[in-house]
Amino acid sequence: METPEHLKYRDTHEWSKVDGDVITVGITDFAQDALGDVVFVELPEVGDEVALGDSIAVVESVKTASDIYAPASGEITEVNSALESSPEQVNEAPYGDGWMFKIRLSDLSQLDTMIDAATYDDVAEAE
Amino acid sequence: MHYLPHTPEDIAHMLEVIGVDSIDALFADMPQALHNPNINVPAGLDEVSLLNHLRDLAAKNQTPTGGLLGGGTRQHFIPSVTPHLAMQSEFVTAYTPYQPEVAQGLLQATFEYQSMMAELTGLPISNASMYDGASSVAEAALLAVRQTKRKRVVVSTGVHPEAREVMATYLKPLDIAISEVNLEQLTTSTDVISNELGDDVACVIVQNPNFLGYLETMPTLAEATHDVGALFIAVVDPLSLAVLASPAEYGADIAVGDGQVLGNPTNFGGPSFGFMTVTDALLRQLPGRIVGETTDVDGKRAFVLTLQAREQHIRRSKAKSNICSNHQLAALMATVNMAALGPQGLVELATSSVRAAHTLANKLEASSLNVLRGTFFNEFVVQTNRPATDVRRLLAEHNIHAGVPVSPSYGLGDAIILAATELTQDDDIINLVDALSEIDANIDANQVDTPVEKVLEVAHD
Repeated sequence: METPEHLKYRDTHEWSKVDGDVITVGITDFAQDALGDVVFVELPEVGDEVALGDSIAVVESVKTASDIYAPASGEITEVNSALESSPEQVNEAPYGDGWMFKIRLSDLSQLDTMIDAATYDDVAEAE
Repeated sequence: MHYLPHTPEDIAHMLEVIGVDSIDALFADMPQALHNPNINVPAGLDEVSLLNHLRDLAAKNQTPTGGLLGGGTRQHFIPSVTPHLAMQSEFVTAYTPYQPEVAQGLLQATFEYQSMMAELTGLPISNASMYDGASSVAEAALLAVRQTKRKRVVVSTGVHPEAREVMATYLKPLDIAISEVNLEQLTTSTDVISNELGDDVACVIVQNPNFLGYLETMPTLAEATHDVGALFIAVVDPLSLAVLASPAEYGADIAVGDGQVLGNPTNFGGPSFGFMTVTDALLRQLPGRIVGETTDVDGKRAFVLTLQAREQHIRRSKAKSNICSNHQLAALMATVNMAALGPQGLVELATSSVRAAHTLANKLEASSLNVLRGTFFNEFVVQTNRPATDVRRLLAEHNIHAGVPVSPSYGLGDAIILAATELTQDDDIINLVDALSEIDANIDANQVDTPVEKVLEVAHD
């Protein structure tokens, strides 16, 4: 299971790539593997104001449907519309083409409460 | 096998946890008179006596003939093959025949049902059926609210009054507003609808043919609806689609309706089923079960429940609907019936139904009865000189079951809805025209039958 060290994580299985005050968000390799084949991703809308911990997206696999939570508060600036026709990217490239949305952060201090790769691996292992 | 899984110890434990002394204490809020009332049930009967008793009861039934009753359910021809196949015990005895991949026969029949409904309505996605026409209208409104994230529904009063009532029940606790738009003359006016429209409107719901039987200008209504980004919901008589333009042709986003006319009898107003078909764009929002076609491990064609992640056994409170069942057997009757009749049979059925209704209207007019003229399908309205319920009663005295009363809210005065189908014979028409002429003409002689107070009550209802 891959957990890139340059990303930040939440124990609800979202990764965040920080670029200034914008984070790009997706779900981890562990999460996509646990879900199985992803068949649909319901994304938020650009312009939505979201708060840390809000359920803002849904990933459907053949087995289940899982909520995706906002890893930090802010405004949705971009969504990966390509997932509408190719949801399998979430399985194939969870840290690449499988990204889901970008948030312009309203409170940068929330980044400090995210966890690093090693801590996330411990969380995943415990599940 | 124990059908009651709770032991006395279980029950005692549960009562202790919730802090109640006894099971009876749970019902303390009920008036005392309702506790263990003395129900007067006679002693049991032996089989012969019971059969005789049931025969006596059954003999009191009056079975309407001639297909003259409309207003939501109608008698249509059901070939013998339909009940014969649909009542196979493999179909009938399965309670919830969804165990994925096991009940292949029923899953295949449901897949065929969906394919037929998609073909009739022109909309590509169908669910496995719903409870009835009214619940399908309510679910369609909920779908539109989910999809558009708007909270007002505009509905024409041409939609069946019972469907509007059920929808209001569904929407009230969700704080979704309903704007009812009255018919102008006999149909829905695009101008009046447009005045109600705004960017807070989730959908516009119009029935075609409408409750009174008349055809709506669906294309212009759909266009006006789409101009404000709302969804257009067509409530349709599926049999009419054999000859009328399909919802897809006039741009409807959702087609719903009652499927009774497709191969189901009219016992007690049912049993019935509702249907719902939608555009590709609304696939993820569709409530209810969907059967899909796939291949098994050996590459053979197989059927499965699909897209279940929308449903509440997986999605819990975020499911698209709390519907997790359907009216499978009634939908199966429709499936067999449509397959037996075929596309040409459906066209012939619909055409002769329309022809019979127009013959009836012409003959009523020739007898000086006041037929309300408009473009109608197989039902229409006749104004009467006395209250509609009296007309219906007097017709029943002639052994004619016809005349669904039109609510005073339509502003048409005393009026009844009449229908005709391919089952309507020349004799049925002649008898109805004669009886109605007599009833309507005798109004002066029988004026005392209708006290003034009652007339006023109806007029101000």
